[in-house]
Amino acid sequence: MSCEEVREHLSAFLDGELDVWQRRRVEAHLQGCADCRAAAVALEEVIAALQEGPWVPDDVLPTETILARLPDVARQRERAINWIVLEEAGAGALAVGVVLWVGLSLGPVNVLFNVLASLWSLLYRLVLGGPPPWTSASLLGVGLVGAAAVVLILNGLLVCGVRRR
Amino acid sequence: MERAEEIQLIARSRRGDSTAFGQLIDQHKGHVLRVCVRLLGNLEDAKDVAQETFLQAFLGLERFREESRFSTWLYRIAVNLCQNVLRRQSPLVEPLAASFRDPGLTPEASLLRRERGWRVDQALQRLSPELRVAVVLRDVLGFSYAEVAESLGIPLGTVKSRISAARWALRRDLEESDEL
Repeated sequence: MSCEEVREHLSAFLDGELDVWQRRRVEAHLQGCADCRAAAVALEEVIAALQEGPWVPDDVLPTETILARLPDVARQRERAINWIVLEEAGAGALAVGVVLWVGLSLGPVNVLFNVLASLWSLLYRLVLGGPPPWTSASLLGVGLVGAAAVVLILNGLLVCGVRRR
Repeated sequence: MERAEEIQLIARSRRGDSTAFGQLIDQHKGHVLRVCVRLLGNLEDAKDVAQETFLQAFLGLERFREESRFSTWLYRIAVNLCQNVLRRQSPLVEPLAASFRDPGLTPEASLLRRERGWRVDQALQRLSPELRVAVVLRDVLGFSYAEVAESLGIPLGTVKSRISAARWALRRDLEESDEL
């Protein structure tokens, strides 16, 4: 190993971060090279100087000053979480609305919807007599709002759970 | 502080117990301040960042995993905040850090240490932020190379070369000022 190579590895050597093979080669070189031994001492002095200071008295930053800011910070976090819940719940409700709207315009879901609307109409006539007050369109609206509300609540609970874990 | 005691304080802090968190601050603020002073080179910025470190730690206590050391986690927050400041800071800030006297030293030893500390701080400020952060994590905080790599998100080989380059640069700088 040349002096140049040893200087390159010297810092890691002093930290014990070389593999066994490299460490042995550096050690062997140091035994026979006074210049590199002096360089190692010089680097050790730099490390010692870095480890030594600076000395800073604790009272420049009173613990009470930090603690006094905790309630404000906690409130900010709470507000941030509430916004996240609202945003994510809104996005979830919108996504369900779009899915239902697209789904209802397609064949199989449309058939299912018509079957449900007919069942509702039949049930109403059997139990209360007369036509049901809600048309198919209003039933669709109620269904969408209901589904969105369920998703909103579930999503909100999920987000709260994740944030608090 | 015993590890079990620290974990208990963390658990109490998570439940919003500010007395427990105050004890954690008392335990760690000296080291956090030292790191910030070394990285930023001036006490005023260091105080602000140290304070912000504890506030962020309090908010993020749920994310802390007990298998890692609380101090290491805290230093990582401090170093990240310092890096943000360094990106905004002008290249050279006059160091103020070494203007205190350690009561455990004689006046002469304290003066010598203060002068050396001041020169080391100046030399550190002349390093690029990348080299400075790597060498402070290693030599001031005692992180292993693997911990430095993990904290900075860089390969082990880069850590090795940055620490080596930083130390040699500091050596040259301090030699020029006849310090060491």
